[in-house]
Amino acid sequence: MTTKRLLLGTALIAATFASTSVPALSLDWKDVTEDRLLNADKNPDDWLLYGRNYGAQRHSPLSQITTKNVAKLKPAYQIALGSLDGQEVTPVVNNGIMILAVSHQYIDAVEVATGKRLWRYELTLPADIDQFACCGRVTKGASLYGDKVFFGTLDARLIALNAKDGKLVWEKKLEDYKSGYTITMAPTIVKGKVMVGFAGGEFGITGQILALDTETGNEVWKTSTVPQPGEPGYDTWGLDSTKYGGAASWLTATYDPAQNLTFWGTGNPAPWNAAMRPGDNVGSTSLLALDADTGKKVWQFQHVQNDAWDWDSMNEAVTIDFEKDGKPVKGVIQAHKNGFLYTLDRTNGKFVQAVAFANVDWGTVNAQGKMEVLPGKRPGVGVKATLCPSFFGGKGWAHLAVDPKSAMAFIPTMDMCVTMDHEETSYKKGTMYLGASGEMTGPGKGALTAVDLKTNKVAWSWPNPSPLQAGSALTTDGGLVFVGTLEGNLVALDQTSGKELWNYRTPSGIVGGTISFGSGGKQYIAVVSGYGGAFPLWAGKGVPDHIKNSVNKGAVLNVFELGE
Amino acid sequence: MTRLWTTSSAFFAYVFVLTALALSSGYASAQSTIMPMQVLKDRGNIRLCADAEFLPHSDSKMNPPGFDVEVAQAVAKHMGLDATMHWVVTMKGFRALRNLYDGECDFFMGLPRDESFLDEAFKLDVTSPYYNGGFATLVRKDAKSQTLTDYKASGVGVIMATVPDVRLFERGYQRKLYRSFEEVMAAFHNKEIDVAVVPALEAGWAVYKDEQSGLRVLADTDKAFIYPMGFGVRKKEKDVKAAIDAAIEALQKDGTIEKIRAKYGVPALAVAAAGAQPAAEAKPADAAPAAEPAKPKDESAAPAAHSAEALAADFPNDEKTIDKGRRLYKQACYKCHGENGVSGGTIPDLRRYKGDHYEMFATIQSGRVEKGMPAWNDYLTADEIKKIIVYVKSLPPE
Repeated sequence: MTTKRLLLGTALIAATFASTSVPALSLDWKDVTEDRLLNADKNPDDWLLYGRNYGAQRHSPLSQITTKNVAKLKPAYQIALGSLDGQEVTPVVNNGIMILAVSHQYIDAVEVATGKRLWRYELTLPADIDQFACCGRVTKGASLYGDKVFFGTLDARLIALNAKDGKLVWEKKLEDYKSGYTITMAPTIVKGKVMVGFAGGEFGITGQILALDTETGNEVWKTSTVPQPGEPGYDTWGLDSTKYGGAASWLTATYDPAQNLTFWGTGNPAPWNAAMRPGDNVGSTSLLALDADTGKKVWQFQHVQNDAWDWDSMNEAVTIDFEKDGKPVKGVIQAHKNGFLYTLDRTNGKFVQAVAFANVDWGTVNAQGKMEVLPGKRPGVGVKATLCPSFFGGKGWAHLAVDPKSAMAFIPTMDMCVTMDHEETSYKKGTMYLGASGEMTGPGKGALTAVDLKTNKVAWSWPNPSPLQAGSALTTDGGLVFVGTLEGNLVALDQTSGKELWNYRTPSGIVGGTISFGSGGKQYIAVVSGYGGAFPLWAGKGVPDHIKNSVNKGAVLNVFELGE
Repeated sequence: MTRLWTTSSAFFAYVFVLTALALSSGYASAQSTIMPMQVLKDRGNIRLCADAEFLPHSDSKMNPPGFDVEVAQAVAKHMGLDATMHWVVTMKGFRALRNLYDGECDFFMGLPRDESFLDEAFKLDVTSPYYNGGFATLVRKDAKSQTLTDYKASGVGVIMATVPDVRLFERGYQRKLYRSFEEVMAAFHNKEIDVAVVPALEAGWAVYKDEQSGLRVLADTDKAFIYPMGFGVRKKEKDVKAAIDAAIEALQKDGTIEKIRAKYGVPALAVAAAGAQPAAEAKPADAAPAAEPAKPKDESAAPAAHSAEALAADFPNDEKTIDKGRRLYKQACYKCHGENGVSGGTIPDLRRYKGDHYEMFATIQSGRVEKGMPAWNDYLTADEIKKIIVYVKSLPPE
């Protein structure tokens, strides 16, 4: 009896401790309402959305750190995160609490002012998952809505956690990872619907975009990026090629509340061998505008017809308004793998302009927005073509940032060329469905390139000895643009001149997004370093020796503040 | 002794420290009693160390005596000797081997001809195998599928810390863990499981002695689950080992071992067709290869030495094969190991791979799952894996 009472007493004490520690955090968690998301630009201290606002402008209105004082930027703290996977994450920050996905190992909640961890959710993956992921155990991050954190797992599950304590609220299996469906994107969340697309265009999946109810996880709508029988464009997929047609939509979408449209870029059609899918392959390598409530395709624009280069159009579709020749443009811009920055009218999908932002030798985009390819630059079966940019693109998935006031776009770019050809292949479940070979002609380089959207011209270019393949840019109202490099350098440049003003070498290569947020009246800059992802796996000869020889794996959260 | 091996053989592969520790205590008390063949003949008997209560291997009540005991008796008879018994407790693991080192008996039954095992038990030698031991698939006869791979998601029963526990985990199987064979049988009885991968002899015996069990043993198993088993003898007594080797060979030829095997339902373990092996093709269990010890893990596929002819036959190095291998490489390997085998730096560069064709085969088949290298045996046929290897081996060096 005594023992029992003793145990009961201990349990009570434990319960008391538990209930006092949790509310301490729950007081701090401010619900992420639709209103706060729509007005992200008016809440400078937060970074609530993957791309900071619904237009993914990656622009922080904070201005404490400026071109004048950025030289004093120094680490506030650096925290080893315990992962050797590539860290492609863009963390999100709500009212002083950072939610951080450490590859597919952990989701952490961190108090930004101190670096103290508030909770950790441990993720588990099936032991055989690596076979079905093209590019390592990577994720772009977790997303917030209300009192929950949403995360898509590599084995194609979507989970919802309680933001206050990291406990699982619901979990849904969305697709079969053994057929190559994986989730690496941070979910898009609009009006109580959490939306995801799948990666897997190299495994012969067909692109799907799903919207689930944030409260219940129940499916609200599902749209196939590849046209289904009876849908317009179905006849542009010859040889019955829609079945494993690819067109994966694998990056976070943007949202235009005025039209209630979500913008999804789609990936390469599968296989890479274009002769196995004669026709334009409508739906692939396109920008799709889907109604946020129904998933219905309102308009779509195809950048690449019958893609032969693996030039996905997955790139983030950033919304921005500016003036061109004295007329207002409601733009949606994409810096495409083919090396051109496209501006479309986001109200109707009409082509506005394009400009080359990287080393391009394959041809040009004409006034109608169509690619004009020079002879010898299109690979085929038994036809080798050497061209720039490579299948990594003139821009990879490293996100650009804009400054909405100056209408400048700052694009992390790659200069890497490839020799490609195609060959017959057959679909084999659990293996890749390519039908193409592509070898880099030599080590790649990179640059952060500024484009003035108003004039549609390159303003300046800051060179880097390795490709800026995966480190996303950040602009601030302090006149700065930040970007992380594979060398591990976090660099701050002057937005107007491109001059390098500050540089800090983090412990590993940077393949994730740099963010800025405020807490306690202080502006912070943060980035997770941790080399990995597609580049070292797929680039082969394109990987510069200095990266191969001096960059090690290992995830670290780096948070910077101004020193004295 | 089989108990020692079946329950802890995973440790032979992984926990050298522990086994070495256990042995060092045995070493201290070891005596250098030499028992050459002549001594045995003068004495007129050979003493077997066997577990007192471990059917179907052995049983001190001698009703029945057990598979190991009956084979030992036949071997002794062939050598013109009487077999006498020294009962031990094999649950004590390596400590049980002290009985052999201390001269309490002259041979131990049912030890794997496994290099990692012999490396540690350095005073021990193992004769030619007299059967293929290891792990067999036990499946409910009325189950919806009789194929192990179909249970990858729904779960396969295993005994904790045995070879199938580790291997199936590495290959992404859901496992249901039990502490003993008895617990596995209870789980079948309670319909918790439809299939299990368990020690082959226990499985065969359970089905053999109970026709109502509703279970069957699949003789086809994974290569990683097959261990050729021989007699353990003191290493110095080479003439005793030779005499036992000769006896085993004769008893295999005249069908004696086969008959004893039938009495205990010992399954004839062979490599399943789908997960075929390269050089040493599946042989009937009773004619297990006398040539080389099976190596642990990856290397278990292959004998240590390969003639140029065997290599050419297993891995034909012609242009067509290389091209087919290149295409398969693109499908399965390229996404990590890079175009034309050129690594970007974070994954091993295959052009630096030091192992031979056979070692590469074993690695591709069973993977290095803890390092992210998948086990490809469920997705690529043995023939496809061979073609990939021929292609990789054809790549120009850095």
